[in-house]
Amino acid sequence: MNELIRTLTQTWGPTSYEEGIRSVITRELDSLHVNCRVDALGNLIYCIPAPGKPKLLLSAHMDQIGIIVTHVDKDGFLRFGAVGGLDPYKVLGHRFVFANGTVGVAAVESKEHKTLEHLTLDKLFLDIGAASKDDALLHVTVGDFAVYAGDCMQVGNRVTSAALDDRIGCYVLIEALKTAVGKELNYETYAMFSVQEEIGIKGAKVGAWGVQPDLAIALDVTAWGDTPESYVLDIGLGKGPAIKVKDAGMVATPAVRDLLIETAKKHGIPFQLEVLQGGTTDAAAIQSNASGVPAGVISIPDRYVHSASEMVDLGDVEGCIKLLVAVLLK
Amino acid sequence: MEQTRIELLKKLTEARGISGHEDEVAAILRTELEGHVDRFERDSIKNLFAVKGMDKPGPNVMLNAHMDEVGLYVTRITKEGYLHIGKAGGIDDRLLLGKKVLVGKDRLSGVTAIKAVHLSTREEIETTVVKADDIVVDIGAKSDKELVGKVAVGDQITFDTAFGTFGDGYLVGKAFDDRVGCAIVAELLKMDWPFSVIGMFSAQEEVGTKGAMVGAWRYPPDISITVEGTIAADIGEVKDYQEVTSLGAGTVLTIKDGGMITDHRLRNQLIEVAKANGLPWQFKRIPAGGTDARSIQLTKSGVRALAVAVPSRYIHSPVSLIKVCDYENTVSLLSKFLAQLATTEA
Amino acid sequence: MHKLVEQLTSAYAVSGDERRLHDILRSALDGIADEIHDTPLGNLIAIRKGRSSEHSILFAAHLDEVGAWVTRINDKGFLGIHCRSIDGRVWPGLQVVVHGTEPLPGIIGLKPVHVMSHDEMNKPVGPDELWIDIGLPREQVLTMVPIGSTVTFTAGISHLMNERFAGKTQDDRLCGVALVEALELLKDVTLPYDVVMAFTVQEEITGNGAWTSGYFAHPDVGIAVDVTHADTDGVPEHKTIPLGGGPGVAVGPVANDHVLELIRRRAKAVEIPTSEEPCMSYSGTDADALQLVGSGIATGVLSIPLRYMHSPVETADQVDVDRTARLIAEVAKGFDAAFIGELYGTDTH
Repeated sequence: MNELIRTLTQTWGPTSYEEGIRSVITRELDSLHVNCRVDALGNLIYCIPAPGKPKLLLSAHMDQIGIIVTHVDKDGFLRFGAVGGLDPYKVLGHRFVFANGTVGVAAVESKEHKTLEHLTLDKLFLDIGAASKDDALLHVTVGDFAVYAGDCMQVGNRVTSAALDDRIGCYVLIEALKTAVGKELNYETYAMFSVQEEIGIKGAKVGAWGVQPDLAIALDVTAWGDTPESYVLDIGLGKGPAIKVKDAGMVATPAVRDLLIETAKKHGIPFQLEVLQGGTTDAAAIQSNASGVPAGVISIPDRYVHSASEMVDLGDVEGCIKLLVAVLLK
Repeated sequence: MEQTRIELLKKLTEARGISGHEDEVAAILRTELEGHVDRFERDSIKNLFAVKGMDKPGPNVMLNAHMDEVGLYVTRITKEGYLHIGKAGGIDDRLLLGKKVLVGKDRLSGVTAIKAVHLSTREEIETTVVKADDIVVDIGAKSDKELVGKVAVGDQITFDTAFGTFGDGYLVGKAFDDRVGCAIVAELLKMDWPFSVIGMFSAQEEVGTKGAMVGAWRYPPDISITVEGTIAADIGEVKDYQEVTSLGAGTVLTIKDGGMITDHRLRNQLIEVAKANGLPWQFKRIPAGGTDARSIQLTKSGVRALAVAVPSRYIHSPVSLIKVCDYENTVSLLSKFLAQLATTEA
Repeated sequence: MHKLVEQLTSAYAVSGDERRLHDILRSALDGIADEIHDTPLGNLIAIRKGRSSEHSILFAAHLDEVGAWVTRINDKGFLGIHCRSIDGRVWPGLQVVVHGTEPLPGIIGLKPVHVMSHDEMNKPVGPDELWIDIGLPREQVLTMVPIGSTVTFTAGISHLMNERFAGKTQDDRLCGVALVEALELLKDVTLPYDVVMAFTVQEEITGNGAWTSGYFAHPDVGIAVDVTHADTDGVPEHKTIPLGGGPGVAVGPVANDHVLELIRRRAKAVEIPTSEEPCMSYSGTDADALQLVGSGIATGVLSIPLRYMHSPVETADQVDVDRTARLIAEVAKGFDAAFIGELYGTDTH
C-alpha cells in the first residue's frame, strides 16, 4: 500500500479546514527546497521560477467533502447539513469522523426506512453513541465538521478510500514535482494545492488572480462508465489518464487539450478522452481569470466519486504523473 | 431602545428601495454619516462607499450591508389601469394577496388584489397558489391614460409597512433584511478606528450579490464583515432542528451558508470577544442562503470574510420582526471586535 | 370623506362583539335620530319619527366584521385560529390584531423556503398551519389571550386615486355610514312615516340581528344596505357591477315589486345611476332574514360596490357611498301614503 496515498487520504481536511493536509504536503515537499506561500484563503502555492517562460499554473484541491453539525437534539443525536456535494443515499449508513476523533453513524428516521424514495439529508441524523445531550456536547458542538471515516485499502492494482477526490490529484502533483524539480522546465511553474473546491471552486479563483498564469492544468478526478448498468460515459479504470474535453463548468481550451493528447502520444502513454456531464474542476475557475487563461485537465478516473469508498487504478495514476512530467520537462 | 437608534431604523426600514432603486436609502445614509467619514462615492451599479482613514496603517477593513430590499415592480399596465407585477428578489407567492403597497416615485397607495371569497370555489381556495404573474395591483385608476407620467413599467412597488415596537422587546417593520445591517454599519462608521475602514453599502444584493462583487474589486479589503438580517424560524410548529436561528439568542455567526464558508480564525476571534464581554451569539444552523460575503471573499487574491447577522423572523415578506437586544448586542460585539482587531492583525 | 368612515372601519368587532360600536354610533346619531334603542343581541335601532308612526321603513346595515377565533396556543406561545368566510390565502404576511384582554398586534408569517418540503411550497398554507406571532412569552400569552379571543385585520385606510380607498371592514361599515349620512340629509325634512335605521349584529354568521331587528321594529318595508362585488380584474363582468357606477339594486325574489319600483322611481327622479343585479334565492344580506319575519316584510337590497370583499384591502369609491346615502334618503322621503296604498293594494292583506 502506497503510504503517501494512504496518508493523504486519511488526513482530516473538509472544505475550509485544509491546515492538516497543507502540513502533510509541505512536509513531503520540504526537501525540494522550492519557495511556497499561503494566500488569504489558504491556497498553498509553490513557484519554480523560469524567467522568460510562460507561466503555467497547476492545481489540485486539498479539501474533501464533509458534513456540518446544525443541531444537537435532546437525546444527543446530531442533525447535519452538507459541505460540498453529498448524496443522501451515499451518506446513509456510513461513519463520519470529527477533528477530535469522535465517530458517528449516519442513520435515517425510522418511519422513512420502509420506502427510501426522495431521501433528503434532513431525514438523516448522526449517532455518536452519546448517552444524552450533555454527553454529546462533551464531544461535539453545533458548527463542527466531519468527514467520511474509513481506511484506505489496496484492492488488486487499485486503491479504495474516501477523499481520493482530490487527494489522488494532490499525489499526482506531488510526485510530478519530485521528478521535475531541478530539471529544465518548459514553463515557469506554479503548483497550487487549492482550498474550497468542493463548494464552488473558490480557492482556484483567487489563487489564479494571485498568479496571473498564461496557461493552466488541473489535476482532479473524473467519473466512470465501466460498472454494471452505469451512466453512459466512455471512461474506464485501467485505460490511462483521461484528458478532459468538456465538463459542466468548461470546455477545455482545444490548444491545451491537444498539447496533452500530443504529449501522451509522443511518450506512449495510453489515455482516454473525457466528456463529463455533471461536475467541474479548478480549471474552470482559472480559465476565466483576468482576460482569460487557456486551461485543461488531466483527470484520474474514479469510481463511486463522493462516496466513502472511491476507487482509482494505480496504473492510471502512474500514467497521469508521467503525462504531467512530460508536459513540464523539456 | 435609545431614541436616535429607533429613528435611524425607522427612517431606513420605511425608505423604499428594491434592487436597482437604492437612491433613497443611499441619501439617508449619506445624511446620517456626513462629517463622520472622509468621503462618499457611488459607482456604476450604485453601491455607496463611505470611507475613512485610508492613510492609516494596519488592515483594510470593509464593513458591508446591502441597501436593497425584496419587493415588487410594475411589469405591465392594463387598459383599465391595473398593474401587473414581477418579483424583485425571492418572495414566496403566497405572501402577496390582499396587501397594501406603495407604487412608483409618487408613492401612490395601492393594494394587491384578492378575489372576493364568494367568487372563488372551495377547491381553488384550498389547492391553488395564485402566482405573482396572476396578481394585479389596484391603485384606483380608471384607465391607463390617467397613469401617464405617474406610473411606468419598471417602477418599484414596496410593501406599505410602518416601523414600530411589538410584543415584548421586539421591533416590527419591513426590510430588516438588510436595513438593520445598514444601521449597524452606519453606527460603526461613526466610531473612530486606527485602521482604514471602507463602509460598503451595496446595491443589488437580492438579485445576486452583484454590487458587492464590483464594490470589493474597487476597494479590495484584507478583512470584511458583512452585517445582515438573517432567517429566524423559531415560529409556529417548526421543529427545533429547523429553526436556523432564534430571536433573543444573540448575534448570528455564519460558519457555512449556501454560498461560502467564513474565515475560521476571524470567526473564532469574534467568539472569544463575545465570551470575554458576556455577549450572546448563535450559529446560523443551516448551510443555506447567501450574502454579499460570498462575492467579497473571492475578490482578486481573496479576502478573509465574516458574515454576521441580526436574526429576523419573516424576512422577504411584507412584515418582519427583530428583537431589540439582538440589535444592541450586535453593535456592541462588532465594535469590541474591531477595537481589538488593530492589535491582533498588526 | 365622512369622518365616520375612518371611525367605523377602524373599530374592531367580529360577530358577537358589536356592542363595541354603540358609542361611536350614538355619538354620530346625536341630533339626527329621535329614539335610539339597544336590543338584547346588541342591534342598535335608531328611529327618525315621521308625522305618523302607523307605518315605518327600515334600512339595515350590519356592524359585524369577518375575522377569526383563537383555538389553541402552542408551546412557543403562537396562536392557532379558526376562521370562516375569509380566503385563507390572505393570511400569510399579514398584520392582524388579536383581541385578548387588550388588543395585541400580531403577525401571521410563513416558514422560510429552506425548511419546507417540495410539496408544501406549491399549495396554500392550510388552516391548521397558520400561526399568529404576538411576540410574547407563552406564560404571558396564556393570561392575555383566552381561547376564543377574536382576531381581525388591522385598521388603516389607504387612499387610492379617484377618491377610491382601501381597508378592512368596508363590509359593512360603509353602509352604516350611508345610513347615518342619509339621516343627516333628512335632518330638516318632514317625513310622512317613521324611518328606522337598524345597525344589526351577526349578519356574517347567522342573520339573527336582522331577524330580531325586524321583529323589534316590525316595519312595512325592510331594505338591506350591504356591499356587492365590484368589477375585479380576472372576474367575468356578469358577476360584478362597476365600481363608481352607483349603488347596486337587487332584482329577484328578495326584491318586493313595489319596493323595487319605489327605488327605481326615486333614483330616476334625482338622477342617481344604479346597477341592477339579478339575485336568485338568497341575497347574502340582512334582507334574507327580514323578508321572513312575522307575517313577512317587503324587502329590497341596495348595495355599495366593493372590490376584494372579506379581505384587508376591500376597495370602494367615495362617489358610490355618497350616492347610496342620497338614494336611501330619497327612498325614505318617497315612503308615503301613496306608496302604502300601492303596497297594500287589493291583492295583499
